[in-house]
Amino acid sequence: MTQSHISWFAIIISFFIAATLELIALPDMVAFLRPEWLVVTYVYWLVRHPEKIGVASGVIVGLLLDVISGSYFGIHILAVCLTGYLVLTMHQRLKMFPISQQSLVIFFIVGIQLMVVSTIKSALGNSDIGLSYLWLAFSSAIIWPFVLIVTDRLVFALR
Amino acid sequence: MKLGGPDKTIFVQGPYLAYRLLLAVVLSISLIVIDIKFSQLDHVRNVISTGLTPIHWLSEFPRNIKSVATNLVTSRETLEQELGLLQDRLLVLERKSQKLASVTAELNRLRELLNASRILDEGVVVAEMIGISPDTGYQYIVINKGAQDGVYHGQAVLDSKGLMGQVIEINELTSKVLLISDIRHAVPVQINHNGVRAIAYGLGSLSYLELANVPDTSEISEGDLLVSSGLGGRFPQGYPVARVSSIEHDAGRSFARVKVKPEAQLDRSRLLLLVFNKDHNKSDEGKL
Repeated sequence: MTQSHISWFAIIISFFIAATLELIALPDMVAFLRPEWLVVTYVYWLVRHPEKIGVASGVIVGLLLDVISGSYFGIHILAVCLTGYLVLTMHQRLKMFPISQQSLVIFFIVGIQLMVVSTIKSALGNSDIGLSYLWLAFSSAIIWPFVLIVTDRLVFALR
Repeated sequence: MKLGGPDKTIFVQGPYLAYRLLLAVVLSISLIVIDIKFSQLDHVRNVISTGLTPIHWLSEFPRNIKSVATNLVTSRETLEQELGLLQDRLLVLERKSQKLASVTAELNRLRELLNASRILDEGVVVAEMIGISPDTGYQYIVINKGAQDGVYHGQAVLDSKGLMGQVIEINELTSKVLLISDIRHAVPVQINHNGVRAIAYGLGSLSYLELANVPDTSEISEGDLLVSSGLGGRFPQGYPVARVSSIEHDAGRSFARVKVKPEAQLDRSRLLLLVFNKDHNKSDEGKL
C-alpha cells in the first residue's frame, strides 16, 4: 500500500516532462514525426496503474492537448478518453505482450486517437491533414519502449 | 505484491467503464458545442495557457543552450569582424534613414494636398518568440509579450523582413500570434509599384501563400513585391508581405493562379516586432 502515495508525484512529473517534450520545436525535416508524448505517457500509466489513471484522467490530458494545440475544447478530450477506454479493456493482455507487439498496439491506439481528432476537426471545417497523422502514430510506437524504460526508472527513483 | 495489484483492477473495468466513457463523450461533445457557439471558454483557455507558460519556457531550453554555447565559444576575432560589419551596416542604414525622413515628410505633404490620411509613425516593441505550434494544421507562435505589455487583439507582428502575422490570443505574460501562412488567415495586399490590390491567403505551408481572384489581365509579374494595403483596418499600411514567385494562367479558369513567397522568415525569425497602432483604441476590440 506504500506504493499508492509515491506514484502520484511520479505521475505528475512524467506528464510534465511529456508536455515539455510535446512542445519542443523539432527541425523542419522531422517535424512530421513528432510523437504524441502525452498520449503515450497516458497509455503507460493506464497499463501500469489502471486503478489510478482511468477515463477520468483522460479528460485532463485531453484538456491539456486542447489548449496546447489550440483546437476547440472537447475534441482531444473525446479522443483521449476513447483511447483510455480501449486500453483499459485490454490492459491485462497488453501487459503480457512482448515489447515489439506492445509497440504495434500503441501504433493502432494512437492512430485511432489521431483519426478521431482529425475527423472531428475536418468535420468542423478547420483543417484537413489527410493521412499524415499515421506518421505521428508510427513515431509514437517507436518511442514506446523508451517511455516504458525511462518512466519505470523514474518511478523507481521516486519510490 | 506486484501480482496482487493488477488482479484487483479487473473489477475496475466492470460495466462502469462504459458508463464513464459515455459520460466523457457527452462532456466533450457539449464542450465542443459550447466552444463553437459561445466565447465564455476563452477565459478558461487563457488561464490554462498562462499556467502552461513554464512548460513553454522549458521547451525552448535546448535551443537556448545552443545559442549560449555558441556565444561562449565565439572568438574575439569573429566578434571584432562582426562588429565591423555591423558598424558598416549601421552607416548605410543611417544614410538611408536620413533620406527616408525627408521622403516621408514630403509624402505627408503631398498626401495632405490630396486630403488623404497621413501615414502615422507607428511605435514598435521588440518581442521574442518562445514557442511554436506543435500542430501542422494550425500555425501559430507564442511570444513573450502579453496583456501586461499592452498587446491587443489583431495587432500586427513583423520580423526584420516583413509581416509575420497577427495576435489572436492574449495571456498575462505571453500571447499567441497566428502566422500569415495559416490556412484560416488572409491579408489584404497591394503590389508595391502599381497599387494593384489583392488578398493573400495562407495555405498551411510556410513557404508560400496564394493570391485570390486575380484577373488574368491584371498587371502582375514575377518578382513583384506585395505590401500590406491597410484595407480592412487590421494591418498597418506599407509593410512588405510577400514576393510573387509564380503566375499560372489557365485558359479554363477566370482567374490567374498566383503563388507568392512570404518576405518574413516564418520558420526562422526569433526576434519580432509588435506594431502599436496609435488609433487602435478607437476601433472595436476586434476578434478573429
